Amino acid sequence: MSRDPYDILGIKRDAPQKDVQSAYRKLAKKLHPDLNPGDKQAEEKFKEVSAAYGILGDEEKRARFDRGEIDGSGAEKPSRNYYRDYAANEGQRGPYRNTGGFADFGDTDDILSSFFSRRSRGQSAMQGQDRKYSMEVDFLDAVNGTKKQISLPDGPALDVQIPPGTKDGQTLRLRGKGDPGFGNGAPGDALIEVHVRPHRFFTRDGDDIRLELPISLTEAVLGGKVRVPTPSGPVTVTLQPNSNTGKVLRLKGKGVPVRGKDAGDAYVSLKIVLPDAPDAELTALVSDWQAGKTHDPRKTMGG
Amino acid sequence: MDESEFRLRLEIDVTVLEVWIDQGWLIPETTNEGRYFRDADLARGQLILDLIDTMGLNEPGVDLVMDLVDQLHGLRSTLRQLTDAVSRQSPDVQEHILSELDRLERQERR
Repeated sequence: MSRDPYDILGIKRDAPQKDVQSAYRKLAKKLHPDLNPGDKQAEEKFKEVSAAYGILGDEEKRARFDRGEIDGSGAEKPSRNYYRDYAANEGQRGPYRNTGGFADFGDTDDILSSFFSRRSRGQSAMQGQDRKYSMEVDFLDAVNGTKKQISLPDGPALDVQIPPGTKDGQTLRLRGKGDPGFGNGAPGDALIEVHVRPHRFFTRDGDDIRLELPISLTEAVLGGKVRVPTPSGPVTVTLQPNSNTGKVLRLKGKGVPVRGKDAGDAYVSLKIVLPDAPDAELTALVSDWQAGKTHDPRKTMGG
Repeated sequence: MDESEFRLRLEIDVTVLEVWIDQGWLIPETTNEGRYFRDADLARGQLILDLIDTMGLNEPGVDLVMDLVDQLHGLRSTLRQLTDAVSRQSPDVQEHILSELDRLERQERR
């Protein structure tokens, strides 16, 4: 490649870096061989543009090119096969078959139209029907993910991978586990609606987990370390002294794991719990506590 | 090739692959030993990477392009069969079809 990469991308020598990218993207969209399956020249041009961007898209390399330290020929990437080279065989059969482009060609009743309608209906190969099932999973299994087996009334047992973060009412698709196809057609899918059983103390709020944490009066007044259950296992949290009922602690990343991003958080709402039976020592202590007699927590409610 | 080789060759994460399969952009074969990918799937994966990384398309954009690409190839292969069938006709039948095509083209230009 001897042409100037700036000419190839059609930009000025002083174009800002982001113009380089947008010029490249524009050309790539136009020239990508898979978006121009019939154009043999597209591949050459696309390579040329990619090589030019390989230099100018990298600020360091661009500077070296500008200084004349490297020429316009980047190292050639190993040759790759484009999808269009295979797609000729995918058109009539294969999983990516799509006849949407001419599905209406078969609507008239002349001889040739049957040629199109046979293809768009795909008589020789028809995908099998999908099958619907539903299953119940435990709250923690849905949050953390698990593997379950469901047995079907009319077929073999089916291994179902419950992905972490599965929501109540979510449908899992098991490709090819539905009814068999006809001819060369692929089998249908199994669609499994997941119902999540409620948990004793966790509730789910989007990707976050909420729970109410009972604490003793001593812990509330003096603070200290407490064990807090979370879906991924208990963690130790330090309470500040004078931690009141209703105070909410956020445990970052201890909520629901989410595919492709950070896990949700756990929100722990504190709740002070007195001992079940009256305690003489506590009663005596509080009777002697003068400030408690003037403290009015209902002050803001009026009346 | 199996799933790990496929991901290694494309340098993609398992979560990325799951999205692609969920979206129906890739339909690997399901075998007892797991998923099986063909060379055509690999080339398709490279196209998806180009659409995302090179051209900056988002998920709905890739979805749209892949659907249109599949439609395009469906059309191309059907058109190829049709031209093959025409080319096997006698010269005067081919001549008839060609002149009819010419007539249609002139008609549309008007």
